[in-house]
Amino acid sequence: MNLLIDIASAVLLLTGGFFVFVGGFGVMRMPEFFTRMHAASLTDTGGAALILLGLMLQGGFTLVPLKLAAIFLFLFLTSPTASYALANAALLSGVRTACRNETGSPLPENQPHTATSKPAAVSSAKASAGKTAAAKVSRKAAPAKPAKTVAKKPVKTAARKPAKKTARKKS
Amino acid sequence: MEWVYFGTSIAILVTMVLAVARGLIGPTIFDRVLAVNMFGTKTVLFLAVIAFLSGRPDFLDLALAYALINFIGVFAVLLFFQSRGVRREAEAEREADK
Amino acid sequence: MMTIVFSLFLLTMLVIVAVGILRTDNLFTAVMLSGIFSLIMAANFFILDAADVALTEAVIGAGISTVLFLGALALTAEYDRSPPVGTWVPLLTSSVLGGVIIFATFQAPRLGDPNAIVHKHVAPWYLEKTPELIDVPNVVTAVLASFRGYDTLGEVFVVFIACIGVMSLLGRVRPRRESIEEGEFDKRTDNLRHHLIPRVVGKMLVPFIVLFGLYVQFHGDFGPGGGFQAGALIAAGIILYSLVEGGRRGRELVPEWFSSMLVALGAFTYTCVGVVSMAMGGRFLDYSVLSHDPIHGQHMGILIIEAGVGMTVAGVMITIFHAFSRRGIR
Repeated sequence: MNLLIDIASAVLLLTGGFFVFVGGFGVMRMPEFFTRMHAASLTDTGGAALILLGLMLQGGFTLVPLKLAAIFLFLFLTSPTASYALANAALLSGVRTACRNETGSPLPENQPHTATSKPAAVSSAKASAGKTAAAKVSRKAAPAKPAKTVAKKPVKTAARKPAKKTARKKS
Repeated sequence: MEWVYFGTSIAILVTMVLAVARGLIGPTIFDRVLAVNMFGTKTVLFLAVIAFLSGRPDFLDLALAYALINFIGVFAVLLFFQSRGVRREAEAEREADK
Repeated sequence: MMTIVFSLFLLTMLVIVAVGILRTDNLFTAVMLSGIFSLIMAANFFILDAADVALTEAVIGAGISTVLFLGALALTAEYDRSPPVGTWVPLLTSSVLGGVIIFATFQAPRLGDPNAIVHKHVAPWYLEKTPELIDVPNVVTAVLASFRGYDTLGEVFVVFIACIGVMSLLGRVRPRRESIEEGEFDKRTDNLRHHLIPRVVGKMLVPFIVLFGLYVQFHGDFGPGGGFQAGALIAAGIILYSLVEGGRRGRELVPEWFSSMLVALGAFTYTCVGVVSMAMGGRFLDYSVLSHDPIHGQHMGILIIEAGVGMTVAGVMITIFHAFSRRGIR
């Protein structure tokens, strides 16, 4: 029984270590910022889960697995939030992804622009008009939406309602 | 079992080196903030593994403290860039008004 | 062998990051790299079995310092505008001094050598006498709070004076912003309120951080912890709330008069313990006379002075943060 726990723990720890290493490798090798952030944040949470689970199996029935569970809970909550905040800060400062969609043209909301305020208003009008198309093309458009100012919210909810109605008609 | 801990901690240390390399190279500022955030999470994992390796699981308080504190820096960065955008707009307005 | 491998990785990274901080001229990069520097130092301290110091370094160096540096950067410039100076004399001086110090470390005893001089005189006495005189499992807290309580009193006063210095420089003056209406301006520069996810997660974590800070405060007798770490953690929680909700609401949560009062009250409590123990017949900061039983008196004394230290450190961090954020945008 002890040997079984040891083996399971070793497998989890080594797999977690591998995930963590893949994350670091991805951060070095990915071509631009948003792809690097994707590599870093996914493998952070995944590798942390495996490593902490492996350590929990070794802890026995004391307070230690509870502390490890608390560490995992806080990492699970804060690490994606930090990635979200960082992506938001990058979009606010005008960093745009150089990725293209399937046909080779740049993604609609990702035209590079120089100033940050006015083009954001233009692209938000485009966003509320072509919401479904934009949602299919990239998930990276999603962080751009909360960066818009408060006045845009009624436009977004109005655009969402026709989509919900069509979904109900289909089902 | 000690060798498993050692191997995992070596993997985490190599990732820390890669994160520092990105922090030094990264052409934009945001790459460096990403490197700091990643380094912080890896430090939490490293502290947890070393706590078990040295046989003292009551040192896990440090990992827990750092897991809670790590993301305050990224929030400060977000606020910094948000206020910088507003500041630049305000200066542009002031220049335009003159 | 494992310690050697870990130290090799960490210390090499330390040197490379230090050179990176010096060579960059973008101050923002320097702030981020100094956050990494503090984390490497915390891992180093942890490997050397110094858990209390590692906790303090991680929380203050990598958590709060980054926020304060970014606040300072928001008030000043982002690029280092130092004029070009001749580099040969400083380089020569620091190389010679560095070489002398490195040569001196070859004469130092090995890590953990029981015949080293530092392990000969006072340290074995502390390790032997702590179970007998103070009966607290964490010897670091016993030394810090009881055997060397006078030094810790000096440290608390140093932190207090630092706060007075910052308050006298930055003060409570409201900056004058004639053209832009303050409410409108504050809405977008002060807080993260219209980013929904950071706001919800941040506000959800604040009670946990404060609770963990209290745990570290009172658990300092039994594990790594104590007043300095606890004060920094509680202040980090309050600073998180002020970052997310804005300076004005942060000051409604913990008013400025309260955090200023905490700064003075902590140092005052510490000194009062010393005076009370003199009044009860012992020497200054001799906790044994505080209760019917010397060991019980030591425990009470350590509890009260750690509370004083925690109050001062928390008050100082919160006050300095508000001094920066009240300054507003230029």
